[in-house]
Amino acid sequence: MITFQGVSVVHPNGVTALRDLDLKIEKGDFLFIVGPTGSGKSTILKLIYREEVCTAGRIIVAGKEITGMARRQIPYLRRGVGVVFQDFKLLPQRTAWDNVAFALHVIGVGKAEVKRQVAKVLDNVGLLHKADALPTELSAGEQQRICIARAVVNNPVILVADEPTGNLDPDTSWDIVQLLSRINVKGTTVVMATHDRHIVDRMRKRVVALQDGRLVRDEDKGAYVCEL
Amino acid sequence: MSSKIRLGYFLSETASNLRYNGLMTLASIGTVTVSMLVLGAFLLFNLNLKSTINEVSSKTRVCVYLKAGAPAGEVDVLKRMVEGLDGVRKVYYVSVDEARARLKQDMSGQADLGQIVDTVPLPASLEIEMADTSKITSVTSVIKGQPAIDEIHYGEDVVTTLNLIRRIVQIGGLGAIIILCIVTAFVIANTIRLTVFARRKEIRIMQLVGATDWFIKWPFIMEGIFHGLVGSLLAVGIAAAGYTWLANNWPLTFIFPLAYDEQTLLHISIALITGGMLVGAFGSFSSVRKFLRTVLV
Repeated sequence: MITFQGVSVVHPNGVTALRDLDLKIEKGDFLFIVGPTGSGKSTILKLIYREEVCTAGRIIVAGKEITGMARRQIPYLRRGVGVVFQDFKLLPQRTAWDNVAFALHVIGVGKAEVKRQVAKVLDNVGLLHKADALPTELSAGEQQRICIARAVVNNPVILVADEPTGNLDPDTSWDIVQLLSRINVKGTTVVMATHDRHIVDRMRKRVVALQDGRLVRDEDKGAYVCEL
Repeated sequence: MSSKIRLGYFLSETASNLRYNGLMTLASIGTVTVSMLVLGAFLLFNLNLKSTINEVSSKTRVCVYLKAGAPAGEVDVLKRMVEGLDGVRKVYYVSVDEARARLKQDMSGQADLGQIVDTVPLPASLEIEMADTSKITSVTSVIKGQPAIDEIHYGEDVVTTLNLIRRIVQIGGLGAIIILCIVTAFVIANTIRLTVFARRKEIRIMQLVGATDWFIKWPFIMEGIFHGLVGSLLAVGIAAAGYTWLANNWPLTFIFPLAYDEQTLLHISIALITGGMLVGAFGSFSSVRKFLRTVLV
């Protein structure tokens, strides 16, 4: 589903974010990316939805090489990749419903279809009863659920989550990861960058560890720190 | 998605953009109005200059003085030849007697000069009325040297000067209009930039969920077109009211009447409105395009 071949990223200020990364993520994988701040976790995620571009190497997403992708092609790549943020990035003046519907409106989905899809996805994240609430009227966990709903309402093949539990208490974090896990079970490939040792250890999924932009560990059913 | 849904979405987005910064919208519309008023004034001035030149030109006649004693047959051939030339409307033969009668009429009231007129030797002439004054020189060069002709006279200087003035006004005016349009587009671009900035979070999310650049741009471009439309409509209204007042109060004794050709005035109005909308569209397009290219990947 996602392939990185010898990918390096050097920022214009000279900082190297990734060094010669090789990584293959299969369809239906649930993958944790762990590592200290600045190790390149977010960079990997941003490369997948082409928020950043690599300075060397090749990246293939959903069968398409995106390395030299034309600017006008990027929106179509992003329709296949849902993104979940640590700070949710919800529009404060729009209701939960409108925040989710917005993602469909702007890619040109018709009204009836928007209504059907939004109701379904809000039900899936357990917040249909809060559809009319503004983000400020929701708890942090609920806001993250809305953010996830917005990311998956378009049925993307890949879901990318950048420290989605970074602002949440342990119980809520666990609920959110369970929600991501349910989305993964339905066939969506999930890539999640995290600092949350508790969650990684409890989930026992594939773990990719980074240090200074280098891949230092790639383990199936791994833990937050190396157990060998 | 049907284009109906799309247009509905764009219109509602445009309306909410306009609500975001009302004051800047007014400033933007005001700039369009001023620019289009100046453009309109220029076009009206040019229209009147053109009609004045036509008026003067139509009164310009070429006087071909004939040699005394030129045979009538030769003169007749010459007259027919001139009539066949390009740009000539009509040719009149003025006999010696007619010339004398005209002079007498011109000097009527000055009794003591009447006697002199009778004794002054006057030549017969051909008077050429031009349909197209720009052909004057080519007509005169063709007939120059004909044996029956003594001298050729025409108001060359007046016509040349008027045409020169028109050229200068056209070139200078065109420069001024281009500068005004650039300034207007710049002001609109700045207003739209504020709207774009106010909505940057939405634009960010639109980009992340896969909205195309054009989908993001359209509401802003429509906002710019709206500024241009309202601004130029105001300009047309003010110009129309002002010009009508001027036409009604134009002194009848003035040398030339004010041009009031409804067809041309309609064309000028359409030009102003189209110009305003184009400037608005261009200003907002450049602004939002720049934003999408520089701030976000």
